[in-house]
Amino acid sequence: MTDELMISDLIYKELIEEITPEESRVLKKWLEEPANRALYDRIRQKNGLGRRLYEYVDVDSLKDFRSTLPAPAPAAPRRSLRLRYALYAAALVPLLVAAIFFGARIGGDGWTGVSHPEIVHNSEGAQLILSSGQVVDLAADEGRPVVLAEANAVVDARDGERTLSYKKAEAAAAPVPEAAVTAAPAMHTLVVPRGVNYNVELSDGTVVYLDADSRLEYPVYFAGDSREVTVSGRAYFDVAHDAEHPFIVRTARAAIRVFGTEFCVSASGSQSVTTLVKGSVGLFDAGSGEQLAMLTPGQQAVVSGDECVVQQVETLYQTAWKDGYFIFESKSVGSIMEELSAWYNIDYVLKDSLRDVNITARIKRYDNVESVLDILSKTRSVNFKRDGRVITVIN
Amino acid sequence: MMKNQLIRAFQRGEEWAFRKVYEQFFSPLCIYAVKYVRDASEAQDIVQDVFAALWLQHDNFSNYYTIRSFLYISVRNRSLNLLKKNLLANEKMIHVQQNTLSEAQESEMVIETEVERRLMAAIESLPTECRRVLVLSIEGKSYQEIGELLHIAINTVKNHRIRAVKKLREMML
Repeated sequence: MTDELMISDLIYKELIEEITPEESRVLKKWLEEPANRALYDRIRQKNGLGRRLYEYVDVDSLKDFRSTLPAPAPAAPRRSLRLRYALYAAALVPLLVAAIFFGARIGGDGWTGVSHPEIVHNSEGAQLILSSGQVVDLAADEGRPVVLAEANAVVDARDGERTLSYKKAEAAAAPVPEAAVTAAPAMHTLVVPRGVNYNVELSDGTVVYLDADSRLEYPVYFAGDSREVTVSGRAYFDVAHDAEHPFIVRTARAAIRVFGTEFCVSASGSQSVTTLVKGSVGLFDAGSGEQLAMLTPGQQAVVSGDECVVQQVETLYQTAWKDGYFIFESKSVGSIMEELSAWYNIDYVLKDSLRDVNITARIKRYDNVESVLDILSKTRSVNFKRDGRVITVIN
Repeated sequence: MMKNQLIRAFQRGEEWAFRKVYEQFFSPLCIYAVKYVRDASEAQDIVQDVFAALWLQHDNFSNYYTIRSFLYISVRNRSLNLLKKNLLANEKMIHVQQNTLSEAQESEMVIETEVERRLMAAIESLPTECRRVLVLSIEGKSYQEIGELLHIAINTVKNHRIRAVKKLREMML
């Protein structure tokens, strides 16, 4: 152990240029071993370091800790649709009643939290990364429009309304100068951290609602045959109709091709879930370009691994977040906590035995986290203990 | 505040010194323990217990290095013990076997955790631009590349880098 710690000191000293010639010789010797060299390079390249910085996320040690945890167990197989709806209807009624009676009360008998500072959802901290890599803090100028000019794009950011607009004002809609047509349009990336949501209106009038903990990459104006954007996290698209220029949404797993429609995408890691509300969309493999499915309204496609599964869903549950609600329909506590953690920017501790407990509830998203936890605990399935920004789920 | 001062306060059993050590090491040690036990709450329990043990014998530690070794060694031993116990209980047998680590892997885990811990703690304390310059340079970018990326003059990059390094040298742990 002392050896490892000594080496770690040498590496650190080298990084901050405090290493002595003698120490440097020891480190060089150690680095001769290829495995050691690989480790050293890995530490220096640790992409978390640079990435975290660019996103400006406050370094929160507990959050780092959470990100190292093993992934949650796969959800249990779903029951048949009809049964699920019946359960939903049955469970929702008493819950709504509970919400009316207890919703506003903090510290009801099912809730063991004491006097903590309120955790409410907030709208600060969204950031825009320009093609140059420059980071613009959208919350810095709250309430006032921020205008950025880059590559013929005028960005109107009104943080008070949590909206960013690339749609050109009538006067500015003059043809793009020759020079700009040949050059590719600048790419912007909107980064929405936990605890925030944000809307962006693209240059063609398409509106994208970005949920907490999501990012969207798009050109400041659309050029060429198609309109292409890349998303991770969760987003709702209201695509402006333009039959000549298909709109393509890329995730790590899929490319979604549409003309004018409304749909919701959630993409995390290797999974991509597309839910169609209106119109029609085609789903393609991100790698091979092979067509995976055509969706009709009310259908949801889940792409993960080599599989694409299409099922009929009630889109209300998939898009409720956009209208300011959490609607959980026999949803596992694991994924509920994940969602709450993104929205309220909290951390949570959850035993594996509780992860797959299912809960059904409809709760206003803008309430503080206490009200939400209070309502959830009324289901008698789980209870919560709060310590600062960390919520522990208990039986 | 000097490292020595912290250690003396620690030996005298002053709570602020203990808290300082706790803040610096708690999360990294949890990350370290999770690599063995693959369970967040078990990892957290282990680290909590180790800190309790550390606090009970606070007057035994004469310097920062012994505290640090104690923490890593104890977390490692307790994690391995837990794995052994689970193995005996025959409950998580398959699970444990999959996660058995080689000696080399174990060493790498310590080195990685500790360098990362010091870097993250140090970087956190830097002003934003300074911090970005430092990270980019650790990632191996030249002054010129950093200047282009951040839209600042090369001299500004140099100054930030010097300031960052100077601040890091002053860091306590």
